[in-house]
Amino acid sequence: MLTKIIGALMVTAATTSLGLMSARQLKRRVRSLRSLVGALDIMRSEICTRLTPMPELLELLAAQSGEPANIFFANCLIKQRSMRGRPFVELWLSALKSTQELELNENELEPLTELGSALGRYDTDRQGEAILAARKRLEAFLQKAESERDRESKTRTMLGIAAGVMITIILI
Amino acid sequence: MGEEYLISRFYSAAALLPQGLRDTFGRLSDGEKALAEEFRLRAGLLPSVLLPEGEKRLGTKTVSPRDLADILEIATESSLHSSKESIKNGFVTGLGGHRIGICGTAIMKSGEIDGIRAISSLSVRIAKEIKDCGREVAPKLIENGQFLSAIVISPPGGGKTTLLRDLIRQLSNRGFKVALADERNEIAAVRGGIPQTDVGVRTDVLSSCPRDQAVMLLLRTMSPDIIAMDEITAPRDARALESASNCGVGLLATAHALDVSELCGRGLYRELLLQGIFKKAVVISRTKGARSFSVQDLGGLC
Repeated sequence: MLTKIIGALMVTAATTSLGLMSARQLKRRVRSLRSLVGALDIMRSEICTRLTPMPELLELLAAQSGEPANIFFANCLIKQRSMRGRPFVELWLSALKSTQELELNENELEPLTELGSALGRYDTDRQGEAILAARKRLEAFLQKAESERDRESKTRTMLGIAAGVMITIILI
Repeated sequence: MGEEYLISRFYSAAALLPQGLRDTFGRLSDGEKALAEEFRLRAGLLPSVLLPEGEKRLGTKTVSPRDLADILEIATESSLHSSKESIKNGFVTGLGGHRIGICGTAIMKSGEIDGIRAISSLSVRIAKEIKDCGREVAPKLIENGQFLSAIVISPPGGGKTTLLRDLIRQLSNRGFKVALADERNEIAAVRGGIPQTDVGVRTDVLSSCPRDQAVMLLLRTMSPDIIAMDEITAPRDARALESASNCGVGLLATAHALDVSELCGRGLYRELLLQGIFKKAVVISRTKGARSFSVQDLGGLC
């Protein structure tokens, strides 16, 4: 009997943690999008108002952005130093690819991918417009991710627990 | 000056080019790399290198507009927006102090150039620091321990900036406090606050600031013995020099001219010379690629 109780507890704990992980992933996506939207605000203001050169801007964003956007910009900075002489879009895309911490899907990464081809090559107006456009799309994804988190976070946790209980009942 | 150093400067300038063009220029012989003065890149034409005997076309692949845009992106470290003011003036200065002249279609706003689009050609001038080239000139600009204001003249590409840089170094190391108004950042090539070329131990550099404003600012803040600047080109530069001269500061500048008589014939400089602002002219002449310098008194020459 004791073995059965221990087994039931283990199964329930495992499914509950799966539910919790799934709920946490929703929260991380929100945090990631929020940090990127904030970083784009800083980027736009620095490029359009202070005309900050890109290496300095990347340093600033790596230091001042929220996590995980700061990791992405730190990766951009590293790649700018190691890929000297390559167009900015290449290092930007390479940093996007290597920053797993962003945890975004392809659709959510698309505005950033497109933004990379506008940065560094054009005047302040055109870069400012491109940043605004990317920010707008990320903001929409953020709102969607927030409502998804509010809606599904508890559900996923509860589903995890319920699945554990169900499996235990079936097995017993 | 060693060939090794000159080749290193060649590669430093070539680093501003996209890989394909870098490879094309990289196929020059070591001797040609050492003598190379500029990379000339024109959309739709073969790239060429400027050697003392003239331009030499290279490779079989023509330069594309994309190549030109890439060069500007590389040279500005993806910060074209930060270089807007210098682009308005037709140039950007890349890492290592290499100046890139820009041609294309001017964007006009209220009758003034606001930028350049549709870039059609670029010239990358290979910056070379030739230490001691002004060793024999510098003492001729000093009398009784006082520096005599001087203007360095030659036609474009004659080596004015190179000589000016070494004169600044020589004078600075001889005890003069030199304030350098380096609008194009090609004399001191300051990066992260540190000059990448040797401009002497008593030299203060104000870079990327319009020359006229820089002169007044340096005068007010750095109490210099000498103010140095490259290429007097506008009436406002001349006015700033007049003001500085009235404050008892020595001036060291450059100008485009073949010789002193040509300089006197041009209104902008004639005024400065008539007022006795410059006491000496350093004339650079070039015979079969070799440069020589002569120092002339300007008193009564105009």
